[in-house]
Amino acid sequence: MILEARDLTKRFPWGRTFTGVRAWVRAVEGVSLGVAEGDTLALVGESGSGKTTVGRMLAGLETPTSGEVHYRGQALSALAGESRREFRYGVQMVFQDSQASLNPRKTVARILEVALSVRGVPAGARRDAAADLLVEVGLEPPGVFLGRFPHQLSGGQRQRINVARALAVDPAVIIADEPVSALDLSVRAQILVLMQRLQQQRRVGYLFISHDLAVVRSVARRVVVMYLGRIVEEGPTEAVFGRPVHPYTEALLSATPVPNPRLARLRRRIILPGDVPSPVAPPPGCAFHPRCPVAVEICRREFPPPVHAGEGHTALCHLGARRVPHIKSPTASRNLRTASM
Amino acid sequence: MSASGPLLLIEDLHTHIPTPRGVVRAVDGVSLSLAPGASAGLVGESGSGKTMTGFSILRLFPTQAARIVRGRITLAGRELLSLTEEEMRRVRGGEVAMIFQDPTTYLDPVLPVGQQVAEAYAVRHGWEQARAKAVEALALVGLPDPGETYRRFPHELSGGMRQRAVIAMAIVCRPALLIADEPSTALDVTIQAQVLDVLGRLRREMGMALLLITHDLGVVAEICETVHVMYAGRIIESAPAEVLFASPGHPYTQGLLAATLGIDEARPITRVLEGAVPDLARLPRGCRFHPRCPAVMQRCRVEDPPAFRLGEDHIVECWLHASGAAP
Amino acid sequence: MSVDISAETPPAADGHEFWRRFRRSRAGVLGLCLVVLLVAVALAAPLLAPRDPQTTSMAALNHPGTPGHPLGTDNLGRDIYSGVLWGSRVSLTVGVCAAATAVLLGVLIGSLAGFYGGWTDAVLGRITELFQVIPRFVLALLVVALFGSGLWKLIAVIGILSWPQAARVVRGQVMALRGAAYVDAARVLGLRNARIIFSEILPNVLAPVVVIGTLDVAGAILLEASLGFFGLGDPNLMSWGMMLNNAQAHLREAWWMSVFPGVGISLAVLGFNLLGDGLNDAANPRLDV
Repeated sequence: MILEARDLTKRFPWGRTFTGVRAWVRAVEGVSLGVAEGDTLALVGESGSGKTTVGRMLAGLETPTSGEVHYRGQALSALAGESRREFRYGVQMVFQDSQASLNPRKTVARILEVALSVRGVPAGARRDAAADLLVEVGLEPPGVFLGRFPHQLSGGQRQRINVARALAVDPAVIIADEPVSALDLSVRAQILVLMQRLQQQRRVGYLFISHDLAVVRSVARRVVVMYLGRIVEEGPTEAVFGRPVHPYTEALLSATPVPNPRLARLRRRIILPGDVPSPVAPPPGCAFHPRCPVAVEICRREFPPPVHAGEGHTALCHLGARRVPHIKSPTASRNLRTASM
Repeated sequence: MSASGPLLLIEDLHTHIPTPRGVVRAVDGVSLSLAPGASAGLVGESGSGKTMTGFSILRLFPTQAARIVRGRITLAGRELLSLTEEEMRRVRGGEVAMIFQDPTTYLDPVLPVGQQVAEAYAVRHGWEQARAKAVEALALVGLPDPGETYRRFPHELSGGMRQRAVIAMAIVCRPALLIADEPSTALDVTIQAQVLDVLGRLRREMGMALLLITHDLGVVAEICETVHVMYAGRIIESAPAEVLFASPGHPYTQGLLAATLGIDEARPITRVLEGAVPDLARLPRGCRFHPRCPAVMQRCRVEDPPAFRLGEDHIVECWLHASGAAP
Repeated sequence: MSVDISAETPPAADGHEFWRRFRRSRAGVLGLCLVVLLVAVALAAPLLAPRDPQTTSMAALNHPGTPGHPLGTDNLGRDIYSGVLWGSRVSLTVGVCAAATAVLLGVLIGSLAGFYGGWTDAVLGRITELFQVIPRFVLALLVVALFGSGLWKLIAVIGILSWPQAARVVRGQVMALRGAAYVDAARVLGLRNARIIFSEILPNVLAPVVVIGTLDVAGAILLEASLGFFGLGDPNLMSWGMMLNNAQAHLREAWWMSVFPGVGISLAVLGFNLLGDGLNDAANPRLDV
């Protein structure tokens, strides 16, 4: 693993009371995951799931309340000097809002040159290197784009610039937070194809943060599903999409529109009641139980154990054993608590 | 209104917006019809003119400069474009209602949501029954405990509940047609499913027709019977949903479908439409899609394609379907 | 969204667009003309002035229109016309330099407070408020009275007393921009904080800072004139404030001694204020249909 989250927790202060005691937003609770070289891991969840906060902690933009980010096996908090700089090159980020993530006062050339300067490209070589990057992300001829300001570009072109800026420092991992969600359908496909090509050419690993399961299915090898700050299910994409164990994963899949009217009409849809509860006061026991269509008494009281559902496929659900027919006893799965998380 | 006639009929609609760069032809000759109780999807990317088409029906424009320069819009046999502004105001929210992507904009933050729903009713029918009708509407859109929700303020509701409150406002007068512009785009998937479920139920229970404006072909597949695909101000393909998804006739529709990912199969993206929607003030000559078209022919560069009929309700504006042309 | 017209309207980053909007503001253009006139007069003072403004002569209290003294002379026979011309140099120098000092301080303090937040912000915020509530003029009087006067002392005092407004505006803007995605992107690239502040954030704060700087010039000119009027200007330089100070004793018999420097002050202050307003309108276009 190049980039790892180990038991990350992030709590934000949420107001103060008169006695000085703060309430805390539990944005992320005990999340562990890892991105390997040339691999794509998808982090899936709805708003309030904490997926963006996990991404920001992995990029070093937020400091975890507890837990550690590890880069090439070393704890981020222990990195200093040269190795800290290596982490900075090694992990880059692409954001959802292509316009907001480019400085409106800078030309494309300037934006890329700043990034290249960070990597130590000498001033005289930066213009050419910037042009090469533009070609690499499919903006040709580069001369046309170098002098432009972000507002003079289309959304798809801007997102390509964002990818180019991330590539400028030759990263090992790119954290892409909803990189195509704001783009039009045809442009979205262009960016996804670009990202896949870059991965093949540069062996770059992606942490692909998205709420769009259809996109995730086409890009990711492994999927982590989050709900209210916690991982509820993780595993190989095929397994999680094909045989979801957690009722939330199942509901998410069932709620995702199917672009096929015949299938759409045949499909049994699970409509979850209500909304995601506030992360200030997450429900006790399994946080999903108030919306869960199959919740039983124990779900309201006890935190669910991990259930092993196959090679690298784990879910946290009391009913997991019943939902995965080939698992015999719940004790077998309980032993996995430490092993899998 | 005859029982068999369409509820909504749009013929050759042109809506233009003069700008410093030139005239933006946002809607450039759109025709479509919608039967009572039917559901149609108006699909397109940004800049396709789908939202402007929706606004044109109600003559509600986000910019004052927008003008309907040509065309006819008939609602239940009534010519809408000849109505005065006052008469149009009675149509809006009465026979035709519209909901938008961002629900918060349409709710007054200082009034309880129920009162706002009731007011939408009272404007037309007086306050006498307004409260009862509002509670009924809140129940129809699936809000839990409608009597209680009536008294709550918009900020006390979640995004999904707010969107349903807005839908309640739209349907409280029992419109014959609901125009929904990206009603679920800003919502989470599970909340989107709730809203789509509500829209489907309203159609069944109220016999309401639905014109869904969206960029999401998945959503269209879920709830629309017919689909109209828009590109750069025109409907370039119309068909029953099953036909369109199974055998799209226009290269643009084919490209869109190829780019639409499903969750049932891990399909690598193979075909990608290059480029982007053209500037509506400077449309290319000939077919407006030809600069991006993978199957472009010489004719496409000079002549605008007419509508070709592929099936009973399957219409495509593309030279590929001219007799004698390749498939 | 179908037609996004706003996307086609570039932000104020576009120089042409900015100038086009600025030209539509009549007050702004008038202010610009006045400021250009003031600068021209100040630069050309040695060429335009018929004599040294400090040179006394026997021709005391001559009326305007006296040959050789188009605006008359004062009680010591000094030429008012020359005094007004040379005085523009003092006003402009003090105004521009003091405003520059104020803006520099304000930008520095404001960006530190806005970028770091927390305790830095709390402490700097209290200091800013302190400077805002103390009466500027009284403090300036006190400082000059204690430490003596001089051009550079005046500039320093006025500058140090005028930074809070710039600091508050910059703090607010920096605070809003520090969470911008492009600032996050710069952080992820590992840029140092100083570089992020100066090269990523501050260029986007420039427009309001220029507006405040321009208005600060007007304020500094007025403050300098007021100090001069109380006899606390630089005694070696002929300034408008000092001319007013001299004129006090002769208000009845020699109106020209006070009117002409007074007009100079008014036009200069008006010019910079109008220019500032015009720039502000051009930088923050209101919706005009």
